[in-house]
Amino acid sequence: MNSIQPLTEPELNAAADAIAKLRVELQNVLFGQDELLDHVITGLLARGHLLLEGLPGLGKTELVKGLAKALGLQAKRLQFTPDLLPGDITGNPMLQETAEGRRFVFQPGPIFANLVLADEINRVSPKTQSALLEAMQERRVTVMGESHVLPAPFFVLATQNPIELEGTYPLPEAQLDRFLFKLDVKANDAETLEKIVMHREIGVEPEVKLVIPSAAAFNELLEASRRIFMPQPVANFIARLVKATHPGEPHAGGVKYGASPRAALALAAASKARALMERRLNASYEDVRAVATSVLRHRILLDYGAKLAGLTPDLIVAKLLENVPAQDKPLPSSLKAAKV
Amino acid sequence: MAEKPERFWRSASQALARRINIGWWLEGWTSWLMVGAILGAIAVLLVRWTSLVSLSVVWLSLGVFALAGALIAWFAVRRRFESSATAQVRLEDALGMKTRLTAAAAGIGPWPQPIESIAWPVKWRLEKPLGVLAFAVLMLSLASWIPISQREIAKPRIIEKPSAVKDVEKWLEAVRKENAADEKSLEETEKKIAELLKRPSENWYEHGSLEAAGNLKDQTADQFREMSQNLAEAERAASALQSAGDALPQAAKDALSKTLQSAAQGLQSGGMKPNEQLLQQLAQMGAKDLQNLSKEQMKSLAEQLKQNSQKLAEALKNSPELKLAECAGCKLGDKEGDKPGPGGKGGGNKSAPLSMKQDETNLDTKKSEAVASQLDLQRLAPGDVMQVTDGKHEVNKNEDGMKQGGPIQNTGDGGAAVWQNSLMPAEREALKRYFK
Repeated sequence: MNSIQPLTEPELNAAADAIAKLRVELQNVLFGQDELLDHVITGLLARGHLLLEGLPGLGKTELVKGLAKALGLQAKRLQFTPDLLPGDITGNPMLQETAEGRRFVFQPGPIFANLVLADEINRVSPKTQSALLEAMQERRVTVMGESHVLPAPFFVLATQNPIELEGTYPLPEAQLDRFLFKLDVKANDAETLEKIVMHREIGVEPEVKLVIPSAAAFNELLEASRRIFMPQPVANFIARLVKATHPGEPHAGGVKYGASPRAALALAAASKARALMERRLNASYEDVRAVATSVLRHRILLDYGAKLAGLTPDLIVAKLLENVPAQDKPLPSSLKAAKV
Repeated sequence: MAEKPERFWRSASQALARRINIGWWLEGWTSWLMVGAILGAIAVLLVRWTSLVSLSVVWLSLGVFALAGALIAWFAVRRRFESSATAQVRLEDALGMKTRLTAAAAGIGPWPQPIESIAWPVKWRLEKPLGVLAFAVLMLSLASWIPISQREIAKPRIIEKPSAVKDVEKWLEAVRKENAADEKSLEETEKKIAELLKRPSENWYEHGSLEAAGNLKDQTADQFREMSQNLAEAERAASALQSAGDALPQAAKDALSKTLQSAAQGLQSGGMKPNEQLLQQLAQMGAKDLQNLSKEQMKSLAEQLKQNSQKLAEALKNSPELKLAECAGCKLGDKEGDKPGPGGKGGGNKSAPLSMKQDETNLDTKKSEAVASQLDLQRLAPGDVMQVTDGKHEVNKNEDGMKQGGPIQNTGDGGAAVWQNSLMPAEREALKRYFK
């Protein structure tokens, strides 16, 4: 067990201030998607990769670009197509004339960036998907037996289109598990659209101020998130929540496969990140509940019966959150839990 | 002042834990109470039925049981008790405090400021404990209220002695009261009765016991009759010898002396001997000297014999079945009331009327009435009188024996035995239908 030095009050305030500024800056990039922005920031602070699902034109690419500018990070965009090869992402060894003679020198691919936007990830072949997912998990790529460490921080923000499924390669469950969050990018309402029309023009990128001066400063934020205190009762709640997703559990009817231990770790990390965003020294049940749907929805697989019955992972998670109490000790029959 | 928020939240957590733990204890105790109420109700009913112990002992035991249950329930449910740390988690979650209490308890961040009033995250639901309490009260009330009679077995079972034994005992008592027989003879008979009654009372009415009791009665009756006979004969002989004296011819004297001698011997050697005084006198005189007794001695002897005979007759006057022999001096009319009075005013000397009714001779013998038995019909033993009825015997009025020829006097009832007594009702009906 590694002991983590808890965050101090000044450190907390400094980190929370920076995050608040980042949030405000991103709100100027993406209108009317505050919840999505919160989740994206939370995901990044939890060192997680994000899978964004939504229709084209909702500002996913703009969000990534805005993030890169605000964080001062290097961002690259990969448009995934079926003919894209792993080497096109990771990079290839190139025969070059060097002082020592002709040698294969590794030419890093577009994955060597802090922020990688993997657009329409489900359109690329499974072979290329797995190459990307290896990089996401290990934060390094191996080409011709040689490992190359990716820059830190390293995040992948992948998008996929929920429609036009013809000619796509849906991500396998094991690979989906690599993503910390799966976020739904919802369509904008009329008010937001009006704001977009008033403040944006096609072909003109919005101005984004640099909030976090360097990658090192951002790494400090990530470290601060790590140092948020995780109380044992909250850890217990996370464990029970993840366990409750498994088939055979009372409220997991229709579930074929439940969430993995990685999901528990993801819940803990995301809860800590959210606590930091909320200027709190400790994670809480509320944090867990806030991130639970995004963390668990792509990790719960339903059986055909449940799908036919119209059940969705979101509904299952909502049911679990309703039924799994923060305190698992039962009450005597002469007492009942009262809503305060 | 700095510790005030911590103290506030810690005491709030403890109060919540206390409330939950009381709930657990109540749950354990109510289960105990329910079991206690059922057992208590059974105990109350049993005690009311059997009266083995006082009812107050049961109530006291129930109180002790309930108190012991309270203690045992406390220890039994202790493993379910919530610590104040656990209650604190419940409290901070319900109040939406975002785990700040747990974090503060772990030294992370300050304790939140106290709030004016805490809305407790648990509320009492007393329907079940109150229901159990009501059930317990109802059960015990019913058990102490339901009418129930005491167990019959608690009452000693009385089995009447066989009537033969009772008769003998009655005779002995009467004879002893009148001092009409030797005490040793009476004791001998009593020993025989005791021997008979030594058997378990359930066996008194077995065939063998009843036969033995009957034999004893017969034997005792024989002894009384024999004594009575001897007394009467001796008294007659002694009286004749004393009154006639020398006027009697020698042969008659000898015959009387012989009779007296034989009777005296019978009295001395019989199963039932006369009273001690007479027995002593007979023994002193000796059988051989009887003939040579003086007039006074003979008179005294005759008097003794007469007295003993009278006493015996008086003692056993209510037992005419003994058919005691009467002595010469004890004949009807000797006693007052036995003979008709002289009549007229102050005549008296009559038998008292049976009743003051005008028709005193009407004893209502034609009226049949049942005697209400005080006995439990389910526990009847042989010899218990259930009821007495008075009815007429069925007399066959048909003429029996040989009859003269000629016209038939009656239709005859020869087949009645079969017709009325042997056939089953269904068969009888079938036969009736056939002959119709």
